[in-house]
Amino acid sequence: MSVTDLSTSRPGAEEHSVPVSGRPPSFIRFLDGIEEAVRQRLAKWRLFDRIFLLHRDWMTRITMFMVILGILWGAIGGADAFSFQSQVVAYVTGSTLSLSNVEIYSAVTLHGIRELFGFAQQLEMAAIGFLVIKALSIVPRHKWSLYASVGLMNVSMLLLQGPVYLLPFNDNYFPAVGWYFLSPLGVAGQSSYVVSPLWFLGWLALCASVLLWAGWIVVHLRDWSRTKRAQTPGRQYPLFLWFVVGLVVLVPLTYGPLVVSTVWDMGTAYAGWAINPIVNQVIFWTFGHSLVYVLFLLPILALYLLVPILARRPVYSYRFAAASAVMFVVLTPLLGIHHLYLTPLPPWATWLTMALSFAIVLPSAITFFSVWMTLKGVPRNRWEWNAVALFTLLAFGGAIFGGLTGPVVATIPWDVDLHNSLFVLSHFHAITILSIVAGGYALIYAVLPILSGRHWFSVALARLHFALTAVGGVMIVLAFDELGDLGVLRREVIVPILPAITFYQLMLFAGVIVMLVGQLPFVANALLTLFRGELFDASGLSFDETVRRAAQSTAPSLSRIPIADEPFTRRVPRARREWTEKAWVATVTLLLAGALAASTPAAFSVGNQITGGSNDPAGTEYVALHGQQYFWNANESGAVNGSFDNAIVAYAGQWVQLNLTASGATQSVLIPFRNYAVVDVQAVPGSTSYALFQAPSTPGVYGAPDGEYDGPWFGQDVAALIVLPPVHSTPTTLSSFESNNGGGDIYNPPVVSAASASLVANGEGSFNNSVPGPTLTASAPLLGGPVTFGWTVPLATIDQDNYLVNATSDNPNEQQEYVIDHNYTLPYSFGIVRIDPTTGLVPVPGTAASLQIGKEMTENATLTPGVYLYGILDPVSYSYNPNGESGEGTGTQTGQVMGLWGVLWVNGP
Amino acid sequence: MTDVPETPERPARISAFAVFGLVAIVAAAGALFEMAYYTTTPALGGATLGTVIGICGALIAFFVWGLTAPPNE
Repeated sequence: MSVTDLSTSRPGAEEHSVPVSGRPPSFIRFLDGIEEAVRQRLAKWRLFDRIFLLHRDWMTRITMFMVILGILWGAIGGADAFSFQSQVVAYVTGSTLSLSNVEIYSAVTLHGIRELFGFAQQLEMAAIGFLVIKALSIVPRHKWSLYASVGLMNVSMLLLQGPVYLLPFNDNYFPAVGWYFLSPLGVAGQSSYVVSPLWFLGWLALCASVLLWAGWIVVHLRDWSRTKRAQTPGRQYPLFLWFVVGLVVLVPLTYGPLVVSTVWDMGTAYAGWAINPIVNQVIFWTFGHSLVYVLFLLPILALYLLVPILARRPVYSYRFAAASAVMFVVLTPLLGIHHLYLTPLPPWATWLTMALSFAIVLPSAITFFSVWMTLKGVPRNRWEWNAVALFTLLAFGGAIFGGLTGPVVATIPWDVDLHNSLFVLSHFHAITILSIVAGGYALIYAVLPILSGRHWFSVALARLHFALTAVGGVMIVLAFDELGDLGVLRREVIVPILPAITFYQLMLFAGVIVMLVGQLPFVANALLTLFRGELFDASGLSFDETVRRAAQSTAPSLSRIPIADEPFTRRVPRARREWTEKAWVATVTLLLAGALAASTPAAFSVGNQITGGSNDPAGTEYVALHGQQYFWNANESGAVNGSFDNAIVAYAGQWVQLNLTASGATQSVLIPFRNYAVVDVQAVPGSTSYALFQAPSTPGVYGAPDGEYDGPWFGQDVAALIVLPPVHSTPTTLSSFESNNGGGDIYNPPVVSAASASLVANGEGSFNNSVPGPTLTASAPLLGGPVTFGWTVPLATIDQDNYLVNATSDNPNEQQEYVIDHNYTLPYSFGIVRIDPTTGLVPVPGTAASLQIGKEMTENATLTPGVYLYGILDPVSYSYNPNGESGEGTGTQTGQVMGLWGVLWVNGP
Repeated sequence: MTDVPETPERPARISAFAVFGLVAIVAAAGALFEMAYYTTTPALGGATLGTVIGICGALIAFFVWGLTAPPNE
């Protein structure tokens, strides 16, 4: 039997359900004429004819076109990942970065955009559109609607990459906002970093594309319902159809909110509309999270479609499988807020989202169990390990791997530790690479012979492709996990340089290379198939047999089994099978309820703290912390008083209450303690967040990076929590701080002796690859003594990527020429200031001088024991505007940046 | 394409059900490995214990119910 229950789907039976239609409008006839002329002209060239299948029907041609474009965007997106990771590897190995910071962060942005939409979304549309037409034997129509959808999809990819100047060449207006652009980042008038209007138009074109495609599918499902379905009333729907219908329901629920948030951003930027960033972000994440499930339905659909076909028996429980489709659709649009746990949303809202996030485990659990149980009882000699089966297996394992870490990131108190770390990317790439991509490849291996009319050319290339994709994917996922465990932030190119981080960063880069190289056998095999593959004949075969025959050309010849449908008679009654499913679902439900109950008190505790509901202990230090996009301004009152840039000052063991606001972009105070509770709170423009924590009992300098990507100077955006020794005591050495390596916090700056320090600035405008720079230590008598340290800013480090000199030309040497023309002196004061707990910062007389470039400098001062700051202690204004190109049409990049500074710790005698 | 015999000359050594089960075990072990680090950090133990126990319990139930379930026949 045909397990997909598509007895009407034998090829050749397609012609009888053509909807009655009249003569097409003249405009359509005009387009048809052009298309036919172009097709005939290109079809004369064998290269085009074979690759684009120009001799086939229009549905096949468009599907193939989408597949080719999808793979193209996937390759470019892969190159983006390579670009970004190559720069991180260069940084951790002490090499010079070859890309500007805008290019580096736009590579991350475009990697996400191109892989998620140009590649995955487009391939999903191609695969599901083709399957619906072929599996249901529908005659396709509305060709130009589908063409329009494909056109909009690929135009959106071009628009989203932003304007590029060809003469003189300048591609620094690529968008560097992260694939999710958390409003107001990038919005004109709201942020220091502004993207081109093309960015927003690109999103709207993307939405139009996917919504149009969903409408196209709905029309064909309606055709099927009115014709084929009407001929067999009361019969079960094909199982995969539940997921297709689920997908077309989810698409408007996903892309609709994106239209709203994008139009709101455009209205704010160009029409002066009021913006409410936190509401905008909630709307955006309704899209952002649903998108994952829109794409995740592809491997789910592949599992439910292909496993029964390969196993020659129906799915274990049709009703449970269909119920999982309904649950995916109902729950998915409700989960967006779990990306915003650390913002000041009402605690009940974040808790409810956590509960719903746990609930969506249920349809996944049903799916994994049903798919596995479908195989129970399949004899060894009735299963063939072809490429379709192998990638289905990978999609199954990858979905479990990534799925099990889902509840981890969905648990609010756990998210405090994980938020925006590379652990999240480990979870995400397990889902995307090991499940979505794997499921997509399973479908492609099943479909390409049907599309092209040719068998796969090489078994060996297919198996090599599978092996390298699996190995590369696992390497990437595990390396992200290890880096996340260490506390490394996502999207961060300026990472702490430690042996473990360097090792896992190299492993990650190797995984990216294996993954990219691993796609070459697929491309080679596909091309060889199109040009040299044996002819594929599906005449007289059912849909299932056709798929098996297509898959079989990727199986070793000795292990091949007949493709014919086999009679299947149910011996185990439905009630017995469903009893097990019910027991499994009941068990998971109870466990989820238990996990939710156990996490609830801590979840409300986190939410109440962020929204200001906690009580301050006596002696609390109050810090009004305002995020200025690339640095923090702290105004303190309590035992410590004063105003500090990029520093929070408290006494050892003192309670600290942060009142957080922000402008320009959503930011985050992350103090990634390892021996204490992590502090991680987001500040959203227009809102106030709160954090209450106790400063460590060990005095020292603790790194506090901005945990939320906020623009191209993200890497320099690191503050310091300076923990002073108890009141009225003289600083002692930092030996206890050093002996436990700052508690294992990787972002803490290294501690070095001032006398032996050799501070050298790098191309990113920081000392010794650390932001803040190394903490310098010295000793002095109570009445004061000499303290000396040396530093230099080499001329070679000054380029377009260094915020110390503004870029006003596309001449790469312009910045250095500017420095030379100004006698190697820049107008920024470099000096030493003392932290006075009663008044704030007090300049040390005689230490302030203009920044000298290209000279070995020695800083001399007579200092009393205490804690000081050194370097450029006021943010430097940066504006990127080569040849006056920057503006509303291209985007602008400005900002105030601090990076060339650190703490000087002077001990008492 | 060559003709395919009724029974493959080199049939799979273990069943697809067993292979998928083994891959589920490996995938679950990978996920637990990823979680293991965080369960040892002092600030997290109590707050995340419920999730960890829930996931471990689900894994055990997955294999218990799967192995005792009637076949798909």
